[in-house]
Amino acid sequence: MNSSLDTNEKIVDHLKWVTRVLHSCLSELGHDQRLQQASHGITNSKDELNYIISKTTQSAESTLLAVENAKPILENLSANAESLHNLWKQIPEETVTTIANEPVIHHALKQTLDFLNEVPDQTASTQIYLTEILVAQNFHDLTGQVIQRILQTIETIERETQQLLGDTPASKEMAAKPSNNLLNGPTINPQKQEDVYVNQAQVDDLLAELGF
Amino acid sequence: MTDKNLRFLVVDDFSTMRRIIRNLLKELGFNNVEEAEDGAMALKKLRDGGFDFVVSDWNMPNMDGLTMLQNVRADDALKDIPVLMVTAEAKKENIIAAAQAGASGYIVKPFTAATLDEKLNKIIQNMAVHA
Repeated sequence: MNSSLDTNEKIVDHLKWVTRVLHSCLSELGHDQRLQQASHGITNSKDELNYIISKTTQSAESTLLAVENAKPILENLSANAESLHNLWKQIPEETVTTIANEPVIHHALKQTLDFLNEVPDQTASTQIYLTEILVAQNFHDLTGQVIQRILQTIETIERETQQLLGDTPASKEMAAKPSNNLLNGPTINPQKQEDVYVNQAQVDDLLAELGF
Repeated sequence: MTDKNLRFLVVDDFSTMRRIIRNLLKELGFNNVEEAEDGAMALKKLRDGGFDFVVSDWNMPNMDGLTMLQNVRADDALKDIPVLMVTAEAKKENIIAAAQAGASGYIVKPFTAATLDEKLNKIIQNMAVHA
């Protein structure tokens, strides 16, 4: 019993030693720095992918809402044009003759009836385009599924990298290193970043402060 | 003549996709549509009764569409309900597995309104023949 405990302890000690050697090798070769850099990059990539999910969700949902709201308006427009057209068709024969003798009114009436007659066809075509817009939102489902899979892969890589880094303390300098170029794209995490202006009022205020 | 009162259950974990299908069904004249976000919830709703048609995704958490389909076909009360699969899974094995499990149709995402219309009508005509 005691001897097996001893053996276990020896194995654990040996593993600790191997791990220490591995870590010191990594750090001597400068790999710990690189791994930390990679680890930081991985975390950013996760935020960026979540940003894509959130923006495409918002965009697809507002498009769907707009399509859903527009469709009944077109249905009404079509139905109203049709009933108005029918109403004009019911005017008595003698009124038609009277109107026929008034060239300006006659012309205006003809144009109006032609217009009312065309409305249902035109709204039907618009409905077809709206349906295309509706169905096109399926990109959200498809790209969403792919992004979820990429996120899972990234999480695996993140875990592996963390294990490899072991107890090496994360270099503050690396994590906080500001990017000082002017091509950063959309702001993924406005609350985590200083000096970003995500709404127009903030931008206008800053410009005003600067005297513009 | 298609019965426009058919009661549909649309199963997909993405609300966007459920909404697209619901709107397309509405355009085809079917206003009686309910939604479920995974196979398990769908099965529960189906067992509560009253559904005539299921349109289902495959890849979903909790219970996927194939397992749901197998459960439906194994349940005496549900086994005759048509199940149309609408999924991004496009491998030959998937299509074969769905067919073997008793899917009534298989639409690959992304799809068009015309495709949904065509497959749906085909299944509904079959329902009428076998009714």
